[in-house]
Amino acid sequence: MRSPSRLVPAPPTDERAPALCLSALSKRFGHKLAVDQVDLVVPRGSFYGLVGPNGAGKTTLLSMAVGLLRPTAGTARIFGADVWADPTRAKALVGVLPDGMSLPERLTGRELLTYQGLLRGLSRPEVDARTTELLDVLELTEANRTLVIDYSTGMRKKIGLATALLHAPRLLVLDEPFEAVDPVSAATIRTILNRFVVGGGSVIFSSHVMALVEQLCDHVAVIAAGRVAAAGPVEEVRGGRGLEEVFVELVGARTGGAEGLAWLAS
Amino acid sequence: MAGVLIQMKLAVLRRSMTGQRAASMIAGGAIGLALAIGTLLLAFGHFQNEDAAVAFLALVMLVWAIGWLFGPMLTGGDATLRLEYFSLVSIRPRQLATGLFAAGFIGIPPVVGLVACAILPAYGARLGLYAGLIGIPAALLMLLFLVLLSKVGIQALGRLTQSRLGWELSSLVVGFVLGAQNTGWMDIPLLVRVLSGKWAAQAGTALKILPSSWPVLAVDAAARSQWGRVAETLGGLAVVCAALFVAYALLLGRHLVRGTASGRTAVRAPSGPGLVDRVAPDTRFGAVFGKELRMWGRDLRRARFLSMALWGGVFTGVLPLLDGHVVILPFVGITTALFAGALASNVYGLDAGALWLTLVTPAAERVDVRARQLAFALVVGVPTLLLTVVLIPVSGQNWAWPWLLAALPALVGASSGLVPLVSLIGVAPFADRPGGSPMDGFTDESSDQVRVKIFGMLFGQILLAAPALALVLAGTLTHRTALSVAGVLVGVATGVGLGWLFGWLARRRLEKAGPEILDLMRKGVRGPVTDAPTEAEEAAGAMPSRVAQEMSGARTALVALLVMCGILFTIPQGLVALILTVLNAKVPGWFVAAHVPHAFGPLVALASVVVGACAWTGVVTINLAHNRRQRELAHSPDGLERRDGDLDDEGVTASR
Repeated sequence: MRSPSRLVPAPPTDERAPALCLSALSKRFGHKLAVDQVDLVVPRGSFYGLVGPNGAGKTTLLSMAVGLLRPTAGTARIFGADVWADPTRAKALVGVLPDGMSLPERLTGRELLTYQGLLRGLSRPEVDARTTELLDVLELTEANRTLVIDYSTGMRKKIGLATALLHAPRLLVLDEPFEAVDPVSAATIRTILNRFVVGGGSVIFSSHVMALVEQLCDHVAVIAAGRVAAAGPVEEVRGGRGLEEVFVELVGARTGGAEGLAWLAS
Repeated sequence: MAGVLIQMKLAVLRRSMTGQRAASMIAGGAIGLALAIGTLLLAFGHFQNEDAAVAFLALVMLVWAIGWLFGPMLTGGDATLRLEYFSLVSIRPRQLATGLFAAGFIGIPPVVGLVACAILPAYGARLGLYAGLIGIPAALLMLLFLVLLSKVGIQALGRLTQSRLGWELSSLVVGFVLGAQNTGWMDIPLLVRVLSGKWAAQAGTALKILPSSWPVLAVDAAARSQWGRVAETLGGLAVVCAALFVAYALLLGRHLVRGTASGRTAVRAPSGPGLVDRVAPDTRFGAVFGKELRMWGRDLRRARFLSMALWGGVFTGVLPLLDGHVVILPFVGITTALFAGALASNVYGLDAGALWLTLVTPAAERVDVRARQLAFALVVGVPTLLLTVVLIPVSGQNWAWPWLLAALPALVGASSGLVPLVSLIGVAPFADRPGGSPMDGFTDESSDQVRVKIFGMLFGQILLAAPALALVLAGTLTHRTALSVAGVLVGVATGVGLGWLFGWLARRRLEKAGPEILDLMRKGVRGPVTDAPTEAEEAAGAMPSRVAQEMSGARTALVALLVMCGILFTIPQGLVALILTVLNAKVPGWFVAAHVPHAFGPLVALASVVVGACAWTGVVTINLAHNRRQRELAHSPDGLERRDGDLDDEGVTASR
């Protein structure tokens, strides 16, 4: 599967290290702690869901985990490789889909993947083969000649996922991968991720859809106000109840919308 | 409706009157007001006879009309109230046009326009009471005309830019203005001859036909008590204004339905492997190199920069030809390169948040910077070299060979490194949006940053070519060819060396501060105020206080002052004076260099360049210090320097 190119990593040396290990990770913006001393371990081969209300710090946490945002304190390790001290090794092992990502808008999907693949050190035939397969599986073949700038939100998500998968990483860090994706494509993405996990890969993704997390994940962490409110195997966190119920209880939220707005129906 | 829009605009302006944005507005307003007061004073000038006065004032009004028509196309116009805001409001286009038109009278430009138009009553008052009184409605109508002209102009340009041809035309206009600024003054004698020689009568008649001259004619007619003429001219101008307003409402109506953004982008990727695939090797370097080559062709903004630079260069060389000067023609290539380097100085900003792709790829920074450099050097270097090599023999200016062969490689090489480096300092993101207009990125906080960069680059590039040029100068003065040849070699060496050095610095910056740069690219220069908050920002709640992010008023004013001094000392008093004195041309009286003994002329001009350079250094230093503080506030303790300063303390210090 792997090409012998120099930038594609050898299997990690530390065989016991978890796929992702965040210790005491903090991020301060001005006076506000967005992420406060978060410890999180994503075991190898796990399908990890990260849930939390809007503004809980999920995106900040995931950005720090992959080297896109410098933490104020704490460390992030991918298969034992420190993201900030040994970025080259860590980055080779991880595939990333950031939230609200920009892309080189004036490339076609194929050109974008080819460019990323070559930049990752894959050989041209390998890049071409993988690109064709990814575009095919993600149903983006039709959009072969369309520039990314003309893609729909769902298509952007899928081409972003393709760039994350292209170099056959060991860990996928995906921020809201199912957001704005149609049900058919979502099913495709679920199947791809499931196969990836079955094949020994690890996934951590953030989502607002509890049902999806319950269905897909074996582990879950609930983040609220920059802290981990609960984390562990899904069954353990649920404690026999529905995840949504536990979530609402943990984040201490109350559902609004029942009062006011009298003028709306008049 | 008009009231609501005026309130909205006032609110936006109030929000904008802080920091760099305010500095830029104040500087622009000050320059405009100075010009307007200068215009007003012309009313008290001495004219040979009344006909000459009318012709002169009509010409002045024409210049203002041209300024109002094309000015917004250069600066991006007034984007405080964007059309998109109103596309879902149930409102008739004419109503909206009325509102936007009324709001168009709010702000600094209308005040500037009014002061300039006051020349009409001022001149009229010299002729008599009635002429003075007629001057008042004439001035108001003229202001109406100017505001409408700019509104229609920018809307028409918006229509135009929905096609590639339109983009090209708009760059041609910008190029013409750039060229006219550079060498247009060489045609002034021609203009004087046309206006005073055997063509004078025709030129005068042609001028009188233009609506911009009609208020002047009205004042003149009032002085002669030709009331029918007064009614004709003012009534005519009112009709023209009404027609412009109808046109404006029509254009607005179309935009509201179709949106300013056309659905599809103008460019579509070819199906098979193109030229780029054949040029770019299948390596990591080749990947970025190929992508960059494609971007220079496909990204309309980049393509527009290149064509603006090219047209600017072409007009710089060609405009003097009108009056028979071929001496500038060989400089078309190097002027193009100069503008291209300056305009491209935000190349990373154009990719905005897409920088994450580079950051998640292991050790991609070096490749990314170096490949961008080569792509830039190729895209700009090859055509400008060709232009130079062809135009020197064509113009017969063979003396220019060593000068240009020394300066061009130095300039292109250095700017290939400066372009990525400068774009990573003082980050100014401009996301590429579907159906984006060429005006994107000329009207917000980022654009102020970019304007500073463009000016800085213009002078920086010239200074970096100086060592090579000094050798050629020595060779020319001492008539030693060897020295000139050495100059060419030094030019090539400086180009390669500086390109490598600046590229290395850019790479270092990207490696060390990549995440911080990405953060700014995503949030914008003043993200917390302008953009919808992202999750991270929502989580952050109170971002570093806005006050802390902005420069203090005094510092802002200092920057504005330094920029003005920088422009004044480096370009007119410095470089232009230097060229004039070296070429033994007649130096106009307002050059300081004209007032010293001839031999000292070049020295005075050089000293002026140095003073200007100091001013620019000051601007850059202040800006850098400000940016650093901003970064430290947002990400303290900053990973760059890992300072453990107390954040609250720093915030308080910065906001004081």
